Amino acid sequence: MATVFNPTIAAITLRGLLGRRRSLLIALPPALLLALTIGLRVTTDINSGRDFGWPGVVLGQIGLVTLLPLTAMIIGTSVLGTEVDDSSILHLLATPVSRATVLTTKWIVASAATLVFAVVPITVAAFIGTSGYVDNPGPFDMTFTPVKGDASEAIGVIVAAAVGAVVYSAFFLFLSVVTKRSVAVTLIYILVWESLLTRQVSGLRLLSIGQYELGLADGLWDSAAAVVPGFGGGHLSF
Amino acid sequence: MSTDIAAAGSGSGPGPGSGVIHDIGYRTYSGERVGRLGIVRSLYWHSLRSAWGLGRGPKAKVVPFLALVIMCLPAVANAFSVSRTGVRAIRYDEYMHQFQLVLVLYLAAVTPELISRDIRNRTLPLYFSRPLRRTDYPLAKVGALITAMLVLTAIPELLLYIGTIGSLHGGSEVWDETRSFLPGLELAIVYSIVFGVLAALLSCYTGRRAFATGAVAVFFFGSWVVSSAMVHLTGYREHYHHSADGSGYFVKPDTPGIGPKISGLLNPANLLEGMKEWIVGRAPDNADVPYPGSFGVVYLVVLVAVCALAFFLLMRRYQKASLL
Repeated sequence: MATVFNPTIAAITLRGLLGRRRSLLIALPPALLLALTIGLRVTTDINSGRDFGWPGVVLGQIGLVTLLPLTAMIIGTSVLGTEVDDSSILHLLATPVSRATVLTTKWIVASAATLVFAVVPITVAAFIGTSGYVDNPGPFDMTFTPVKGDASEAIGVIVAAAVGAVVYSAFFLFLSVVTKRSVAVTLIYILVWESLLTRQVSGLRLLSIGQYELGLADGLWDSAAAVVPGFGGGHLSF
Repeated sequence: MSTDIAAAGSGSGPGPGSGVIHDIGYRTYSGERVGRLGIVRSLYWHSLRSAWGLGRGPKAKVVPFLALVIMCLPAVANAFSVSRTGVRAIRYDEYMHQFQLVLVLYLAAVTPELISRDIRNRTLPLYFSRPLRRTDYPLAKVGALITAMLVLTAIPELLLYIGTIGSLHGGSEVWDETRSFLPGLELAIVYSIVFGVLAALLSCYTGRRAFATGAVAVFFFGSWVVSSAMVHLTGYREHYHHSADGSGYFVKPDTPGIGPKISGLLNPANLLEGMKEWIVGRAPDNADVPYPGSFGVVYLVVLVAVCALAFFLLMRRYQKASLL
């Protein structure tokens, strides 16, 4: 493999990716996430004792587990899939560029696009959601461990989202290489494997990218909040 | 024929009385013509078959039959658990809501096949050059999609019913079981109609299959996660109930307020769940959607309005000349 990144292929891929209507489909979910975060931030008093840590639910369930894989799916399957669909991949493969270079370039573009369209909104939402807390004594009814409202939580979520974007992009790009109907296969993975089966059979967590992310986010957050007893473990899931 | 060619090749002009210059053997169709209804019927039948991958390659059958197998797994598990231990694995009326992601998967894979491919391959002009009206095509397609969905939703309910009554004794028990089975079947029909119409609408705006698949999946899955999270965040979540003797348990509130009820409107499945609870008159313990009470009318109105609007937009879409 001579080169890892080919700027011409990257430019072509980006132009195909950010077509008129597709970019709308990609940009709509992050806009929803931000609107939801801002709405909740405005309407709830985050420092009241009865608050139960909505940022954990919004960032974890909506951001990491839903927005990120769906965005990565749309992007990861279309960087290569559309060219296979309309057969323009033949022209690309006929050029004297090694196939490994083509693939790594597409992986880098897919990761970068997922970072922009999913991780950046999650980052903004994390800071909006967690800024301005004073240390929270915890809810009275003991249902939820409250989100500790400082940058440690936000950083855990952001790092996990960034890692998840790269891993999801690689996996979905792989699926679009080995299968013809990559979107359907990717959906089977997201809907059936990650959402349905992992919820019923907890052992499958060991083979789920989404659960890796949540574990990473919780782990980083725990190590940051280890000095404060009573925090940590499973904040980001229902 | 050969004489004509010879005549043309010899250079001599056509003889008097022979008006035909070339007769290359085309024949006109002289059989029976099926007409508009026949076209609609065969379009419906063909779409229904292709929605299950019948008459197509083995790859087209993977997703539909995988979805059917996953949908049927709980019913099969239930048959075993009822016969061994008498414990039910799943209720008729929670089946569709619990496994809605499988329905979404099926629709995301199949609806673009039925609807987007004709736009992509520009076959619509061929359909509309027949005695087929503009509204007939979407009607046949949506009808086929709803029927195909019915196979996916009703078979598991039926399996659940058969698996349960196999372990029952006496006519009255079977009758009671049948009475709780019928609402489940009705729910399967309603889910098929609502999900089918919405998915068809989402797919008819694009000719790219991958695009339509993404739109259907993002709409159903995304709105479900947002709606469920909003139900949770606006107050309908488990809290610790203290009993008098010092013990306690986790329970969701009886009177959740208006926030969770409005949040339930944001997703088709949660909408149907709330409407079901309203019609039945109560919610199961720790339901996903709070019991709407008198707010249930809004659920019904929103459901009917959304379906009517989706149907109208779908019909209007096929009036457009730009589609051809």
